[in-house]
Amino acid sequence: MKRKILATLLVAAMTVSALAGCGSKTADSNAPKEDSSSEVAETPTEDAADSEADTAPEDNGEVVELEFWGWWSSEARKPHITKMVDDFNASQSKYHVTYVDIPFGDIFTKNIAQIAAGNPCDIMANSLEEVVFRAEQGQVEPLNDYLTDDVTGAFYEQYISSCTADDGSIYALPLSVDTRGIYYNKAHFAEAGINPEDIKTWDDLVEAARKLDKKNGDDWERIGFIPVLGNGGVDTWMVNANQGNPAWFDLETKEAKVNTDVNKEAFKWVRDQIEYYGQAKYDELAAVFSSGMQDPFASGILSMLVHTSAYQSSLKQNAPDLEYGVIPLPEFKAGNGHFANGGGFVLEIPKGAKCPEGSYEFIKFVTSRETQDFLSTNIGDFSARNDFDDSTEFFKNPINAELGKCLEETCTIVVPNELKGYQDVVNPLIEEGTLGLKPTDEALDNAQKAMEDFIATNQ
Amino acid sequence: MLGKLMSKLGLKRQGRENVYGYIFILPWLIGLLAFTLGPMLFSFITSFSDYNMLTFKFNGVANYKKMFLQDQLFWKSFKNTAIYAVMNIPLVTIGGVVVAVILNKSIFGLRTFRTIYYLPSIMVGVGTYFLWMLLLNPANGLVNTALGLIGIKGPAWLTDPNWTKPAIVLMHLWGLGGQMLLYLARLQSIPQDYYEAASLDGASSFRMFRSITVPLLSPIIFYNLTIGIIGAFQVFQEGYIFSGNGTGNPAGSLLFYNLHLWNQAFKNFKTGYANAMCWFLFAIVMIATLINQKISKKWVYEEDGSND
Repeated sequence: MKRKILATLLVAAMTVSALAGCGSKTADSNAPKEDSSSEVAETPTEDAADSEADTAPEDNGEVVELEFWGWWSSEARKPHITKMVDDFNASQSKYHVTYVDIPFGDIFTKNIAQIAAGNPCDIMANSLEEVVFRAEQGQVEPLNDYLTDDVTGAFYEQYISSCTADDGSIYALPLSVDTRGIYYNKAHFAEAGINPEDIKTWDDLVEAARKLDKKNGDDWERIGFIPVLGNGGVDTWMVNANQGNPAWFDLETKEAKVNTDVNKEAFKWVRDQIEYYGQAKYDELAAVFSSGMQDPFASGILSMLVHTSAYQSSLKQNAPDLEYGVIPLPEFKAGNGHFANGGGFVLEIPKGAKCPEGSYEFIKFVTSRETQDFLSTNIGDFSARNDFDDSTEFFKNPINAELGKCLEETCTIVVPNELKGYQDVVNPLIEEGTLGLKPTDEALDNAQKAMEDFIATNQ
Repeated sequence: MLGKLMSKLGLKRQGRENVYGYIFILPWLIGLLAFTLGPMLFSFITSFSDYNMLTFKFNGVANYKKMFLQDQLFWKSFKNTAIYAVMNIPLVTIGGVVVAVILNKSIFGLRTFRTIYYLPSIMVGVGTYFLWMLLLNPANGLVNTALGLIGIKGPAWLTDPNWTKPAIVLMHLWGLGGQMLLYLARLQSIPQDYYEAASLDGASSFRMFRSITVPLLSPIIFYNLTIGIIGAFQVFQEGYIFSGNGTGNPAGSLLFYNLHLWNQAFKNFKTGYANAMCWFLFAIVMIATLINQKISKKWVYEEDGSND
């Protein structure tokens, strides 16, 4: 009898402890994560975190394990990222970084979930345009305690200012930046007798396009240029016309300025280029681009295309023999400037990361001139460093040199936190004009009204 | 030993069976509390707050007020979803019944046809969306090529805002095999005597379909309708993938309720607001289901002794 009672008690105790075990697993922020990344995350992370809580890592000589999250998983990129991480690990003995790649579609929601759970990764790759927003939302650690002037001074000022929040602190360092230019088919240009350097203004561009067009009966055999295909939306052309300033709002007053005269003229120009070839032709090409199965520029149907610097790698894969060059976006009016909008990626330390000093050391290493040259040369992204010039390996590639020129007049549009989310409201109304559902002026007037309402209700 | 413990506690047989029952469902109960009811409660509480996943501040009914009165996209996304639901639910339901009835006849190659119709239901995920992007290409997609053969110039399905929702409905019609299977199973269990008797009375085949097949299928139609309403209000992926960047392009025509909600939660980090949107959606779906349930009494045939 006694034995049976004892056994019952034992079973009960075991059940309780099993349940408690489950409970502590979720409560303990250092427990391995349930997602797929846990395969890569090594157990020493926990030990290191625990020991770090007791004594500083440098005191006892233990190596601090750090996790670096990014989304580069392709054969073309991952080996170089891994090599960079290995180089960092070999360059010092205090920290050991592990690269964890998580699909682009998941990484940002995972990141925020891990921050909320108090167990973020140590170094996170993220978008340049939204550093300020994330800082305001309390998702990132400021870098000011570690930054020195020689580090911040090595980047173009506009990129550092994109990483500087309203409180004056710097929250990230630029990992890579991109720009937009017009890719052109060299054979088509030679055939039509066009010198790319002659394309200076929007009018020149249209003139060149007319020379490149080829019609076969009713159908277009070759299309000179459609401004909103590729990676250049209406925004790209509006930013260009507005000399690198945000097209839809005033950065200083934070007021709507959608239906200005400049915008009306520029937007009508964009629509005219689509209408010239007919809405049906545009629909067809837009569908081809969005399905991602063919590339009309690579196959020679389009002679010119707006795209980012990353387009090179896609062309290398789809059309290795294609001879192409890049010119900067032309000027809206002579003397206006060849402005393009561009974004980029940064490295930052998620809020609550266990060892910010170590994370910063890694960020500093990755954004150094040497590592940036290694990454650029192998991956093809541009660096935001101002000492990154012709002497680097990267710029020996002529296309990179041409894109480098575009980068000089590239602006990163950072949406002020007060206006965050305005694009959701404004863009569909603009698109009604782009697609010819409404006259362009009317579309801009509607968007102006919507933007004013948005600002009024979000204050 | 557990038995002894229970007899000490004075539990009779009935009580003991209950205890065993609860022990067996315990894993599910824990799961329900921890992963379903817990998060639901949390989302309900945070829907009354300014919550961005990191900070939390109660703001009363401000989120709900904003939803109905200020958010410029709320009603638009709701309208998009409702239009889609109104187009999709009847077409898929009627389509499912018609296909099932056809495939219930003994025709040559029946099994092959059944397999062909059911196949799309097991092909899920992003791959099928990309497949449909190719099929719906306005110039050389299969759909417009087929329409061209009968002299119709097909629309720009995914770039013309007026055609994006019909395009999605078309895609869902292709995947009606799942519903069809349920109808087919039910059809097979309808006794042939009914049809025999009716034909002796001189009933036409349409009359038989109307007076025998449909009433006997009605419980399954009702089930599919309920699931269909819930599913239609949850439409998300189509808008997210076809618009390419989650903005609901072209011209906001694919900005569905859930896509708007997702953008608020994970792009603008207005999670408290997104939670409020969730609860409104819950209320709408609940009301639609209750209405459906009420009306069902009028048209759903229930065999004696089955339910109630």
